[in-house]
Formats: sequence, C-alpha cells, structure tokens
Amino acid sequence: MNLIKRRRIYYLCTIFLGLLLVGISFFANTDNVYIIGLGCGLCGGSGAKLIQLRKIASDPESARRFNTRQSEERAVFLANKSGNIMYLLVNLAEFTAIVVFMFMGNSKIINILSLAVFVQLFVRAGIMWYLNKKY
Amino acid sequence: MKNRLTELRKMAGIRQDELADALDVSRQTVISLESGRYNPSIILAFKIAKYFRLPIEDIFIYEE
Repeated sequence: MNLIKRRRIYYLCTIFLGLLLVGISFFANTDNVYIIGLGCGLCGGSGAKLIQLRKIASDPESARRFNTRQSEERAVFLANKSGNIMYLLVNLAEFTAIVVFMFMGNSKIINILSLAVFVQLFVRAGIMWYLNKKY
Repeated sequence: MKNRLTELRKMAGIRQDELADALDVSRQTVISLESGRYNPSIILAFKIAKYFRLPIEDIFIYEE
C-alpha cells in the first residue's frame, strides 16, 4: 500500500472519529462543549488534509515528490530524532509539574501525573526490551 | 565523515535536484550530504556509488 493511500485511510478514520464525537455530543445530551469542538476540529482538519492529498494524487509528479519527501531516509531520521527530543522535553515538563504541584499541595494532580510518567517510562522500557530482542 | 559528492556532481555536470531525483531523495538531502551535515545510510551510500560508478571508499572518506 502506498503512502498516499495509507494517509487517506488514516484521515478517513479521524473524520469518522470526529463524526462519532459530534454524534455522541448530540445524542448523549451532554453540556460538554469540548466534545463537539474536538469532533468538529477533527472533521475539519482531516477533511482539509484529504482535499490536499487528492490534489497531490491527481498529479503523478507531485505524488512522486510527496512520497520522496515523506519516506526518504533523512526525513525518517529527522522525525525519529525530533520524537526523541520531544519525549525528553515532555518528561522534563511532567517532572517540573509534579514538583510545582507538590509545593502547592495538590495530591490529586500529582497522582495522575506520576501515573502518566510511570506508564510512559514503562512503555518505553518495554519497547526498548522488545527492539533489543528483535535486532 | 568527508565526501567528494560536490566534486563528483560538478564533474558529471548535473544539478542537485537532478542528483536528488536519481537517488530518490529530496534536494535538501543532497545539500546536507554535500555539506557533510548528514551521513547517508549504507543503502544510500551504495546508491550514490552505483550512480557515479565508483567504489564507496572513493566517495566517502572515513576519518577517526
């Protein structure tokens, strides 16, 4: 399956998720405006991406350039590197938030954040272990 | 790692975007390779060597 087709399926799934959220907000009779906002945002953003992909796919030269740009090794290397940096920064932000909330005495948020950090580190260690076994 | 990519490309009389098209990479990758900011994978190094019909060690110079 080529990259454009995979991206199309991904954006169709996010549109479906957006519609689901909009539907839930209507039928569940909830006052939560964030659900309908998130649903509309997902539909709008993914719809725009689908239109963009359709335009790219209609021109073979654009499609070839898109595939090269997205899947060439330097792009993958940069994406992995930025992902690693982002992970470190997110961890740092979480630890900072835990310390700040500790001083404020908000134990409920500290518990949630600590659980999130634990799950992240646990998943990372698991993936590292799996990749170590695989390669 | 140093390389002779700029020199070889100019000797072959091709532009960066033409080399990029031949190697299935973006022009930005060719620019990064030529400036030595990015080291290619072994597959890309082989592709480059095949394109210029030279052994890899004649294009890429390993320095400790």
